[in-house]
Amino acid sequence: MSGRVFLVIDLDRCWGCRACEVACKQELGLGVGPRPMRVEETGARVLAGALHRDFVPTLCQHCDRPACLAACPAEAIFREEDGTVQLRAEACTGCGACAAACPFGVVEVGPDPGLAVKCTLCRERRRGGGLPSCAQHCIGRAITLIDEEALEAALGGRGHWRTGRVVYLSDKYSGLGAGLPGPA
Amino acid sequence: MSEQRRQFALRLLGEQLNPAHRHAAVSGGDPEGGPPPAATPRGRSTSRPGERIVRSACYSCNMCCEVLVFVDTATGRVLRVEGDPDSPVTRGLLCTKGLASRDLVDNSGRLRHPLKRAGKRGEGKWERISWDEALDTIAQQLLRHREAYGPQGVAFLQGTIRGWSRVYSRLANAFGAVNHGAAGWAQCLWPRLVDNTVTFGATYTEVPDFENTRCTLVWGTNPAATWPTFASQIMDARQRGAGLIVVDPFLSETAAKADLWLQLRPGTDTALALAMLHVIIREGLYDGDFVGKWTTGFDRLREHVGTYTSEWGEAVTRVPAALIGKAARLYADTKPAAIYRCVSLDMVHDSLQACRAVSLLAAVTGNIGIPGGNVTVSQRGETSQNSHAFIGYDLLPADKIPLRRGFDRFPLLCDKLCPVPTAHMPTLWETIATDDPYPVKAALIFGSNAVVSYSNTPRVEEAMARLEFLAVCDLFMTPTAELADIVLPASSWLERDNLISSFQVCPTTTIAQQKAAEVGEARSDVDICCQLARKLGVGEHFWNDAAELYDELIKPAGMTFAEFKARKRIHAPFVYRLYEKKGFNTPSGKVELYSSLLEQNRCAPLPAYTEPDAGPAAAAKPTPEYPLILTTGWRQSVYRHTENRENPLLREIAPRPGLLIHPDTAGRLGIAAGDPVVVETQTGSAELYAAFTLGIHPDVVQAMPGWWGRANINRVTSWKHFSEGIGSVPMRGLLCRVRKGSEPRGSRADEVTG
Repeated sequence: MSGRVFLVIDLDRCWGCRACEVACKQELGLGVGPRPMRVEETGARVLAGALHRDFVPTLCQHCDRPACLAACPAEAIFREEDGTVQLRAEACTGCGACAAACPFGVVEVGPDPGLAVKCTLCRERRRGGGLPSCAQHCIGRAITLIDEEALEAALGGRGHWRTGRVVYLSDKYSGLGAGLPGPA
Repeated sequence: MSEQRRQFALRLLGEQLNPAHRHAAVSGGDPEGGPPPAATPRGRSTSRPGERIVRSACYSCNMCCEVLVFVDTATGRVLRVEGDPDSPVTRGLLCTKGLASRDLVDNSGRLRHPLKRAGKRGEGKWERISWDEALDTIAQQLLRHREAYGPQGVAFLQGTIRGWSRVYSRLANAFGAVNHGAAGWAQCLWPRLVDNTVTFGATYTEVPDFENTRCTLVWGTNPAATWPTFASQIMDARQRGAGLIVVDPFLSETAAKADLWLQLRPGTDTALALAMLHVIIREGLYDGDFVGKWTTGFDRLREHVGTYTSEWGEAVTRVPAALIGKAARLYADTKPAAIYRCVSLDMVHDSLQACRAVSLLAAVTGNIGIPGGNVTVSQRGETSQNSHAFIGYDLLPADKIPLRRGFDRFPLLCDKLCPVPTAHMPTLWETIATDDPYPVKAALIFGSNAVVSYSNTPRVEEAMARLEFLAVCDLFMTPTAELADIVLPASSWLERDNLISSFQVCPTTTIAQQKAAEVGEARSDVDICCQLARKLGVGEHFWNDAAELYDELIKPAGMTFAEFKARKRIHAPFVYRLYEKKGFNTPSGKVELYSSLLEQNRCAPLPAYTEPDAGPAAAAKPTPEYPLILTTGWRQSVYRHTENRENPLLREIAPRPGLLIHPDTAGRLGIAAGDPVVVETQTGSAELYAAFTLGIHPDVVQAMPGWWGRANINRVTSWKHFSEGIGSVPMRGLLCRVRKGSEPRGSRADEVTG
């Protein structure tokens, strides 16, 4: 095994319950403020003559070509061996260049201590044999951690989109992410 | 920032639906299709240096999910709460409330010591006193009032049971308090329990066997927000290919994933069930063998539903006749099928009959007691607290029971057919407010924010102001506790042991909850009740303390509570087709489609449809003065009843009390999204904030209940109508009007801003 991982999010299974949001904050010890995981919802909308309402957990995509990493003047952002994009808090100056550069709005600068905050894919938990907290606690079991070698089998030929280490899956929507930049 | 994330989400999804997919909502799908279930590796939760793990179970709601509490070994502080991956039921999941529950021990608003009122009532001046002084004062006052007014003159009120024990009911009965009750009972669960008793002879509720089902019918509940483990099981079943039918006036999170969404007019549940029964019986989709062998009254039921056609159903419920037929066929033709119903059916104007009508769907299709159907559960190894023996019903003098308020009118609530016989609370509040027919001057309230959680809040406030003595035991200084003479600090689930045996929601496990923290002098309700019992002179009917009680309860399983804690859980899988050995515990020994027990109690033996709030079906149009239909059913995952608003992590997710309203309706009223709005009925008004959705009918609005102060939607519910036999207050299908409001000032709802 390469030790490289993907976080696979099956959008057809997301109930929008937000357990992932609180699980994340608890793991990272965050209070009110930045939300490294945040569930966005479409609201009820009419598609093909019927009402639909869908939910998308949004978090750091751990991009293959991370704009935040390129933008950071303090070199506080780096790529880890497992493929994830990580932040060195001790090097962060809180300048906000990463947050401004992120095309998805998922890197934030917290009010206290005024440093950048984003998803770590629960680096510490994974080292202890655990799942990322969002994946463990997900009520719809929409979020799973998959080893790189097992990704193709996990996707099972289903429609998906990714630009990094987070893979979104859906059978309901075809052309997932057609309007978004893809990986290189 | 958040707008950028939202745009990301919208662009990720796009608007291109896959034509081959069984999409949700109104289209209807193919229950046989669907992708394989996702892999669900469990992972491990391990402690880090300086931490120890307390294996416990969360009681933030009634789901009782097993959790791991991580505690700092040096300071004893709770660091975080996680789901327990070893739990065979949850497999490690946990909802927002459980995950954020560390705040229960951290929150500066927690009550930490017994308090005595030092100023005028409600003035907020308190003096810290000892437990002994607090309990002595309460005991003296209760005894003095019993002496002066008789046992009926002292009310024992409580909240949702949860981790709080039925020992409190036992204390009420031992004291002679015929006027014992809770905000919830006639409004939540009791109608379903009584339905199960009279229909199936079951002592507790029916449990859906999601893991083996091929079709799930979710009726009037949004488990994605309120029942996390069930939600995961429903999702697994759905992804396995099982059909999913959801009955809800709003496109809830759960409804959004349905094959069939039945968007009924609020309060017309009985009509919808009757129309489905009509289709099932007319088209011969019922289980003839089961009906013939195990039910009584089928011919009468067939005749009874003869006129309830799906066209009639459409006229009453607004669910298209074709969709009613489709749902009836999907449910009846896909065996096994499981129904998951919840509080909405207890809160409609004809609560018991609505519960009955839905139960009859399961009965005629033979989906009772079989794998994948609904299974009635009553015994598991430990001694249940849910019995007349445990609550000490015999301790109550028989000649005093008829003094119970509501006794003459609501036999299904106030007498022996009820699992915990209780007073009819609106009738009791009226008695407190008027001294008619006798004075009730003292009240003991355990774990209930009565000022918020009862219907008709303005009248409850008037009644409470007339009490000569009030003691309240709770976690926080609620608006109810503020009115008390003595306030007792109760421990939260994190600060106490408990033996959890909730048939309602964790039917296959009994779980040990272990104390993980301490907050001030807070004590468990069991300990408080046992101590108070001794001071009230009825100690011989009680235990020394909680530990002794739990030892006794777990004894039939052949262990002590200490041994049980080491084991953490007893897992007892469902027992199917028990009726083949024992029959059904009804007078006839069969499922009573036509209920002899209801007939004996002067209630309709077959469920007939009646209109909610005002007017017959033909005139179901709301009046010009009150043109909108209100339900109080909007539930969110972060809140439970009147709780959690003081938790900053949860409040951040849902900062304001909301009213769901269709944008067209709001536009006509000059209301923009997020505007403060005033909801008015004939009897009261409440102030909330407009939340737009296309997922609700333009003439329906749905309020979030449980907020304090002016936002409390119980300010508009009334006591004009009570359901037959059991006295539930309607909270679905009320007539109302909505106007733009001004920013509420001094509202408790906005005191905590995330």
